[in-house]
Amino acid sequence: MTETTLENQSQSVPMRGINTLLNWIRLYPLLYIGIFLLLFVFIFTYVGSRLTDRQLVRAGTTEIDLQPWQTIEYRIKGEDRSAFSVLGTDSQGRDVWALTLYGAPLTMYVGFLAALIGMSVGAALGFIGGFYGGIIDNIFKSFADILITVPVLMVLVVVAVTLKSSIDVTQQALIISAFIWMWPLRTIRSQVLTMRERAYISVSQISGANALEVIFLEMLPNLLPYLAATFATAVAAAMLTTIGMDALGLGPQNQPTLGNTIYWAIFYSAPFRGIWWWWAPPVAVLALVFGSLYMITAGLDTIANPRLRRHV
Amino acid sequence: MSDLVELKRVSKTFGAGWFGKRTIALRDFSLRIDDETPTITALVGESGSGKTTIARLLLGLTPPTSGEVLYRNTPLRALSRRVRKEFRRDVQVIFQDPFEVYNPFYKVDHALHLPVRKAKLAASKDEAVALIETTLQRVGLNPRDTLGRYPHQLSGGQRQRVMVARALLLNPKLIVADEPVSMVDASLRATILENLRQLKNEFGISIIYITHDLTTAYEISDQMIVLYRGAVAEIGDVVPIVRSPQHPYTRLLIGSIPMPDPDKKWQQGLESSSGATNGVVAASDIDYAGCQFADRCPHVMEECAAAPPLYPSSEARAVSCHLYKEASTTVVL
Amino acid sequence: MKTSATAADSLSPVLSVENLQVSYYTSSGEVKAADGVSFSLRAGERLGLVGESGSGKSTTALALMRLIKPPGRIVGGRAEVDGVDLLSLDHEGMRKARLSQIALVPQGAMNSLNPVAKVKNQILDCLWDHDVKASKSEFADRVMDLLLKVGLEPGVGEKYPHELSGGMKQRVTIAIAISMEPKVIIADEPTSALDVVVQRQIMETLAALQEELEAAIILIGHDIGLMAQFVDRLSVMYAGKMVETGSLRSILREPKHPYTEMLVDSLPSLERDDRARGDLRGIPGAAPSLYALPSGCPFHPRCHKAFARCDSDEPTLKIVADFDNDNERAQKAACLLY
Repeated sequence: MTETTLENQSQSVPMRGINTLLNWIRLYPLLYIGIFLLLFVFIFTYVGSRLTDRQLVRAGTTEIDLQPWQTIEYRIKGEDRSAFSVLGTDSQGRDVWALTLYGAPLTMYVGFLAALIGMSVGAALGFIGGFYGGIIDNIFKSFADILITVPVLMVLVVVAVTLKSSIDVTQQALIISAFIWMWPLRTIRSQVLTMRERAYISVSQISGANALEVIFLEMLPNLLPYLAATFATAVAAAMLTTIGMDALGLGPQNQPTLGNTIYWAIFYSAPFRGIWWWWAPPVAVLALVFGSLYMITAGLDTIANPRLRRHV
Repeated sequence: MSDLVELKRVSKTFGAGWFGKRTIALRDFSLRIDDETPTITALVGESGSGKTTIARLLLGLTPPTSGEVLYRNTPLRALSRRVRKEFRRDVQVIFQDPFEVYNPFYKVDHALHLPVRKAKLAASKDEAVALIETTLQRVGLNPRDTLGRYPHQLSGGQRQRVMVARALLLNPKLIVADEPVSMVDASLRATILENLRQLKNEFGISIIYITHDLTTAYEISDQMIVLYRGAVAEIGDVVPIVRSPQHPYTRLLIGSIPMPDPDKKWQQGLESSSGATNGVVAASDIDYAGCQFADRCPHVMEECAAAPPLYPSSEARAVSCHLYKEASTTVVL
Repeated sequence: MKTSATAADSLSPVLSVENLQVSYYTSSGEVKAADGVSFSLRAGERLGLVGESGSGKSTTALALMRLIKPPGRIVGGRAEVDGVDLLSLDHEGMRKARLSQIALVPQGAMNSLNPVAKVKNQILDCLWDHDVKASKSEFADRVMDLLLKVGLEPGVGEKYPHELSGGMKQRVTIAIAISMEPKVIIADEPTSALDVVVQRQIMETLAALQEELEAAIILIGHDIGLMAQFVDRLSVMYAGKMVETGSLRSILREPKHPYTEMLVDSLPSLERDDRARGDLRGIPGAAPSLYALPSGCPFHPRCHKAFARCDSDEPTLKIVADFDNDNERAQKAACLLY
């Protein structure tokens, strides 16, 4: 009887290993809903785009400014095709439903890639700086602090203008990642700094663990929720930046990213001409994605931040 | 007789930045722990007396500001990789908080397997488990009740004893026990203290017992060093110090201990109450080099502006107070 | 230190707690943190409440102050101060009762003072909260008076908490606790973070003030030495229940409950002579988890006197020794041996 009660007790406390992942989900519905929503948007739009004629996202394919919910006809290389237009067409003769389906995974891809690169660099530097301290730490930290004060979008404008030819989405992700690695560095560094003083770190050192073992075996597992939360924040920041770039016409112009759709909608004054079906869908998808990322961060926060933790 | 570890005129200053406030945690402290006769030495003092700094210095977790920490007559900073590994095995630790010392991500087994793996104490996984189980039994724990659990599933006493087992695994010569019972419930305290005595008596391990609690120090240790604000007040065998404290601070300390006896109430009008500072530690000038207790001492005199050396006051005993300059063994007070 | 038993001339209790029940509702079920705690105190009396962590001593203190936070809840019982049941007061009534009827000197003064307010203003806030009407200079006098009473210089009023030492901060919390002259003072491990010398001074101050106010005081802690210096009566708690209660002397000299007996035996002491030194006897086993209390007497798995009935029958407090023929004050133990 004592055995079973002890088991139950352990499950009310999070962070006790991988096999309690399911319990986390039960304990942190916000995180769960966020992940589900994000996956849903990605899978739905990705699969949807595979089932949609790519021709529909090219300019001049169909009649312009058609209302939503009707069948449209178009002609490619002498072949007549038709499609059901859920969301009508824009002023350049593209199908907005197709634009949204193709654009969402693309924009999410840029965000994830940029965040992944920025996160890896930032977390690595944060671990090294926080753990060893001294001059290296000062250099990393000062560099990050200076870069953080730089208005990112302004610099990106200059970069995009300097690169005469239009960039592709992967290049865009790389450029953005150069401006977001400082945030994970700061978060991880401060966590490592406090964790370094914890007694269990001293004990592991006195037990003979070397620096790598201390970082990877003692520190990293406890920082997983932090890393995940920082990553989710970084993805949101990166996506926001791509949209900013795209909406200014500085992104990869030949790709149907959500930002580009917004750029063209503004270019053609869609909001004033009442063509809501042009700008509203990409905005709605972005709102969903940002909302789910927010929920993921907030959910992870309750795990990582003991003050918000719900167990007793 | 060779020295296992020696602190040689060690001082430690913290926060010596450009603007930061400097604090002297330890002043000109010397201590030798020999290799042959195991002893329990108690370091007794209030918070800020420098006792934890001594622990960190002995463990090589922090370097001294001046002076040397020596392992078998070689300064710690100059140890070769190989000897450093020996030092890591020879000098072990038991920390104060028996919860904080466990990584919350792992079961308690992790804390025991790590030293076995790093010090190559076992050739196989089975051998490691067998070694860990015997060691747990040695400190009076049932491996079945301890292994495979997370730290929060064990009681404070069990957690602390697993830590004793961890130190014992490495077969050390010296264990630094930093307030090992101050966060353990009263009913379990005695068991841990018993474990410490057992380490000395059965396994021949010397112990530095760091505590603010003079009573437990009296119960288990052979020698005692009373610290006050980073300096030694009194040093010597435990029983004479407790029976007839000499340094005014030691007397104040012993007079303030609440005895669990309804007939031994605090004596009225002890020196403590006459202290003008009323227990408030005056923000003393950092470079003040005189007796650290002077501002609270009822016997303060002009000479106290110079730091008193350790006057040998009787056999196996010394006190850092100018009252004992004549090295008289009887004190009229 | 003078014991204040003489001050307890009035026989009607100033505080009487009856069958106090506090539970925490967690994902693993209900946890009874305080289960049927009853005691009474006369004016000027000093009661010690000892127990290990999780024994329910602090829960009892917080419940009397009505400061139990969710997921905890006071499930039942009464706690009357001068005939008024604190547990059935409304929110506003309880706010008024705090400090004026019952006051808490909290554990760890560093966390209970507002770090961004001057000491003076924190004391004044308490007075204003209780609608004390006075002129500016009268208020200033009152603050000065309170600071002097707790052994602080009046200049301390102009300081912020971080400028004070631990002992001084604890003195400030005492000044706040006595500001409205409460009838009952609860001191929850008031000196646990302080050095023994400062501890002694603080306890002496607290004792003097309590005698002056003729307040009843409950000292909560785990240090039996400190209890022996301070209290008249001692109650021992184990796993949410009161297992023994009686006069300090009888509990320390002739403990009846096996837990108390072993606890007193396990105390380290400076009194032992050289040879007996280090002969310490701990209590085997560990305090039970409140999630999985043993059936019957909660102490029976660790008890060396346990017998057949102990794992099925729940003992209640019974009179085990009564010298003064005073039912209220008799030594009682919750053990099936009696």
